[in-house]
Amino acid sequence: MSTAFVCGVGLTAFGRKLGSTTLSLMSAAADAALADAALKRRDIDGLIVGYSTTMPHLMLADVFAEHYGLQPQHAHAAHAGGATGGMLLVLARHLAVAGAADKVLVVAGENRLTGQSRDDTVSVLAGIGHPTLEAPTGATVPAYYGLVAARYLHETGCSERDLAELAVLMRRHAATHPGAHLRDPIDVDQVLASRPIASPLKLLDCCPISDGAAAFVVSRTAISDRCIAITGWGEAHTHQHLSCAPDDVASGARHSAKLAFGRAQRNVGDVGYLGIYDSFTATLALLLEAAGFAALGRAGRDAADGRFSRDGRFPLNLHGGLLSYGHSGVAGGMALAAEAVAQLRGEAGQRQVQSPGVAFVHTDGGVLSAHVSLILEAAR
Amino acid sequence: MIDDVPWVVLEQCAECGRNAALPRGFCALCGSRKVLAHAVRGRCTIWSITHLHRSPRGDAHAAPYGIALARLDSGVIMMVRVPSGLAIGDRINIERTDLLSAPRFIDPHPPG
Repeated sequence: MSTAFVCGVGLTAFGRKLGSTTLSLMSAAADAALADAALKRRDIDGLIVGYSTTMPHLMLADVFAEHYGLQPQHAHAAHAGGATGGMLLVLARHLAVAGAADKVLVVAGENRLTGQSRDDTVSVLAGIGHPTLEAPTGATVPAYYGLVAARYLHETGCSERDLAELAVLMRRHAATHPGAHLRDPIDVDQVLASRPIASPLKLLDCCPISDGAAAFVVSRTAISDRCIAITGWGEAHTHQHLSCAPDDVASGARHSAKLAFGRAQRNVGDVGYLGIYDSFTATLALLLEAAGFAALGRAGRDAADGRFSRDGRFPLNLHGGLLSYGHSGVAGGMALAAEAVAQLRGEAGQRQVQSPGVAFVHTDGGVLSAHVSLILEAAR
Repeated sequence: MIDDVPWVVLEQCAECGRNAALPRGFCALCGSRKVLAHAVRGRCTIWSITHLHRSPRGDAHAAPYGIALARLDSGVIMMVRVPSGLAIGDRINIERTDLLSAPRFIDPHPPG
């Protein structure tokens, strides 16, 4: 299987960044990724950007290229909701392997927290609901995931306490990353006592809204011994609207993970680091279980038992995930991969896992609608 | 005997029989363009339910309120706004009089 390599990573701190804009944040992440790869603007011949809810534009890739000073041979923007973070890497891999570009910059970021009101963000995101069949009910994204979470608890017999364990774990991990949005420790009782949003989800079951950006440079060849190979990739697109979803609502994650493992000729047992989309605690539980890293209904209790801690069997989102590093849209998903790359390089400092070997990264868009799975490995 | 169970209008494929809540003008399963508006009984079972404590901006509904995924006895799932206090597995009635609107909850025992 042909492969491509992540040769540069840039991840800004997430949180409240007053005065930031989509373009300023994207530029900061691009600077960091180019510096990390020891490349110049002129080396970049491909560009793929994510979307920005604070700067909607038909041609955001060209806007960014012009702003940042790039004249690539290929540029486009990708839109797959929360799955976009992983999909940018898949698309860059495809461009590189096809020979359409040699060095592809992928970048996304936005001032989602300070660039618009909370109500604007909730309103824009609620647009993933069907305009005549779902939105008239007054549903929001937390409501859609509340429905998913309620069904999960019903089918598995898990409790809200089990889900809360995942929020506690992400906060504990974020405390060790200086760039994380939310770093104050929380416990299960605090999660359970936080104000109700969309039952069974409470405030601390939900990721925050953040400003921030991330970028990668993907290369056709390994240009240094710090390059990380994209050895496996898979996608699944089972539905868009929750009311049209399969009963096994997260089954797309199972399909995309299977494709990625097959292409990488790896399996769950080979994996030593996880970066998994955690927009809500229930999202994380469903994805961990569908992708094969926890038995059905076990994700929360496994978290409490240490399975996903730094020294556990499957260290998970050691930067804090969307739940605590933060969620600035596409970059929130990219941050999962950025931490995976840092871990595989052995550059994660106090968060470093011993010999992670193979990383599995998964991003999810819509309401478990679009899935991207990636297998990342130190270059062989 | 005439009962008081309301009707829900769906789009049905005349060739493969599939019912769909979403009107497309064709069947997404078999591709046939022979589709018709078709009414089924509005009896359903709550497949999942959430109680939303903050409404999106511009929404007239005062939170908290319930939103359910209701599975019609004919198999199709629809999202519907419901009163508080219902749970997964509860039997409810919904009504939908045309293909372009969302269904509405019908209280079997309206006050007064």
